[in-house]
Amino acid sequence: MAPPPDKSDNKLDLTVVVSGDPVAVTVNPNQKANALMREALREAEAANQDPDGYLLTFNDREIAGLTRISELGLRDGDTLFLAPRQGVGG
Amino acid sequence: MSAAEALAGGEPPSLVRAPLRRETVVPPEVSRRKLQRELDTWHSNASMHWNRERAVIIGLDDLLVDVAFAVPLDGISLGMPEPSASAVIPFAIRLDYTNYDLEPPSLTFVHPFTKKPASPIVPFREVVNGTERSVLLPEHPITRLPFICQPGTAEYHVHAEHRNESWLAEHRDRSVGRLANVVERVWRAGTEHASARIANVAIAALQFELRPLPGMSAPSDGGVASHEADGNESDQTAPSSDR
Repeated sequence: MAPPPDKSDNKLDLTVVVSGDPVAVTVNPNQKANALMREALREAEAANQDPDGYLLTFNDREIAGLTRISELGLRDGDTLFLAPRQGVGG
Repeated sequence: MSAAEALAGGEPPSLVRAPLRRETVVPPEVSRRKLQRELDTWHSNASMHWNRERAVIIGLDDLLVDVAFAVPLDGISLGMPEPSASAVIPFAIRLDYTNYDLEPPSLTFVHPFTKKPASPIVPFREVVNGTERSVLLPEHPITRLPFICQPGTAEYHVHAEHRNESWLAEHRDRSVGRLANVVERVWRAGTEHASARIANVAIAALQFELRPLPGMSAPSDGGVASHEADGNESDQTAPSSDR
């Protein structure tokens, strides 16, 4: 039987919904949110993979790209949302 | 002049209150295939969309997708004990994926049941550089219908003020026309502000509804009033004696 996952490896297993499509992402909490966004966009095979063009939210709160992931209070299995920034209209 | 011609520049057509009509320049089977991918993704995550954006697809017809947005009625705001079992639909949209994704989808506010163009009764706002502003404009110069002035919809890109902003070069690769992303934008701009407005409308409606009709007693010996008097949640769910 496979041993249980070793969570002492300081990794977080998250789900990021990119344009409506959930993708699994594993990140190091010491990384910045930008790294999480890049990984999610890569997993989702997004045409544009520049994190600056996207809005990352958790519990409907925007997360700045330079925020350290460990500061977000995330747990394994949490779901975040990544959507294109709407751009300026009007 | 068609919307396709408008995309290329030129004078607006005669003014009628109707959704954008676009010449088909992308084979419909191509747009259908792309839309089907969107729908498959949506249906795989339908409960997520319902729980988060409170959005549900209420109609599908070839390249047309109708989406309704719900707002729960907070029982406390209504002066009633929690939980409230009620929700309302403050608005619905029709997305037309003709020519997708050579062109963005067209977005029209519609009545959720008749599916005819209609005006939402709630404000739509976005925050840009810390300043909140309206993104719902009352009349599009071509359709004469209310529209959301944000990149990623045909109405935005055929608008004279935005013709120098290329859908293909600047927006398509960011997936802003994808079904989930359009719904996310509309939800973010609209329903956040809808709750308070809808609660006020519902309060007015309830106050009207709770007036006793001629020949009927006031709701003091049953219904909401007596539950409120009880002030006990278990009593609210207990079966009545005649059930």
